[in-house]
Amino acid sequence: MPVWHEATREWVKQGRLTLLGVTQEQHADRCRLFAQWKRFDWPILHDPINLLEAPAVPIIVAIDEHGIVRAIRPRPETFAAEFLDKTFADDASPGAPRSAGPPDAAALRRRAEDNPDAGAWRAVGDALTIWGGAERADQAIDAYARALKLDPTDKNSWFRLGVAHRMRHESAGRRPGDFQAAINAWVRARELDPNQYIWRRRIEQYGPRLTKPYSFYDWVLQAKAEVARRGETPVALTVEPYGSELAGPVRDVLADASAPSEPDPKGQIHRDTERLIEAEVVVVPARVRPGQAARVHITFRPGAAKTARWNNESTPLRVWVAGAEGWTIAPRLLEAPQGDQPESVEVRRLDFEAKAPPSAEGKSRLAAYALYNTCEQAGGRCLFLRQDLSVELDVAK
Amino acid sequence: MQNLALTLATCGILLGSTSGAPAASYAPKIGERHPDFTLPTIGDRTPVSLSNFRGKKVLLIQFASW
Repeated sequence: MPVWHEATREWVKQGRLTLLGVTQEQHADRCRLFAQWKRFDWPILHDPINLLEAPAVPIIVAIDEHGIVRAIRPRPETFAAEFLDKTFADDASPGAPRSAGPPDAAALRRRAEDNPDAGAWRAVGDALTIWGGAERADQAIDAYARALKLDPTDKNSWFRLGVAHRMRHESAGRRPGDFQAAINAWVRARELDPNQYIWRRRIEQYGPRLTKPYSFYDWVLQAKAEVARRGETPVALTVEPYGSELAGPVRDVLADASAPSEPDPKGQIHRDTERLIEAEVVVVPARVRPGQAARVHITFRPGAAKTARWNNESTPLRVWVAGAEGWTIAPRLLEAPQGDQPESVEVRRLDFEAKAPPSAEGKSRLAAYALYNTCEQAGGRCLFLRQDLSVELDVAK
Repeated sequence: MQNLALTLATCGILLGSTSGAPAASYAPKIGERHPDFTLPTIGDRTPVSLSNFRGKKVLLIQFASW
């Protein structure tokens, strides 16, 4: 993209060319930060559900003043002669009618109820996911579920169901299991269309480093620093990338060479029986083959009563992964950054990798626990607590 | 209802049949009009259609930041 941004800058300034971006990304604000960093000043549209069905990115298409496609993947060196300097005739058939703007989700729903089929319900889900956002995620999930009940092979509905679950997971309306449901839906979509590069990338973003092609969001840290150095305020991200989204690929999962010592080997720390902190475990992917790795994500939130807080004036949140016989765990001891205030209520995320032994088969349970300092409420009693975590992996040939 | 019909017609072209049959992937063809679509901007989520730019030469760039 930066190549085209630079190559076309003068033409855009002269009004001879319009650049129009479409980003295939779950989080619009991450693209906003990217655009700010690269100084992209052209309109960029958000396609979180792959509505355009792009099989891969980037795709670059030159479209003339009549809306007719004149070049696909044009080359910068011949772009002016072969497209920009030419005058084109309006010589294509009229094609489909123009878009009437954002769809009417209520009208689409009535239509789906009157004539139920998978495509009609998918269209309801699409309208709600793109235009309703997290507030309508419940209804979008319901619409995609209806589509899939009518056609369990509707791969687009599987992918988009995953997007809606992930969207709800990151919202105030989150429900336990949303993140795992997103991963499982994306895995199902990929099984139905293994060549869909964008769907594959969405899973790899959260997956083990063994199957990652590159780090997905390592650029975020660099972008924030450079934007700040320019004297600008970097676009704030609603969900900061962490763990697997920042980690680079590796060729093997290596056991932690530093051999950290277990923080509570005798299990003496009091358990968090009141669930002051909620922990949710997600395994990406939920099922692996013998010898393969999974990335295990643990999301921590101050509890359901919403009164509990992190106590940042003591040791940080840590997770110890004891693992299971024959499994390689990396790293075994995880530690989350502390908040900069004495108490805070943010979501904290940690992740690690677990590689199955070649002989593994069936369900395996990895022993793990979290240790944290929490206060029951603002200014209330503060405690050091342990929570035992249930990490279950399914190994199948 | 006319708006709805137009939107669905567009979806039908761009997203494949609404009958639940396997949808075709994005495949623009040289010499044919690019199917129209409407999506929100990444900033204030204003709806923008490709056809808003009729009369101008457009370089459509589908990408991701990752």
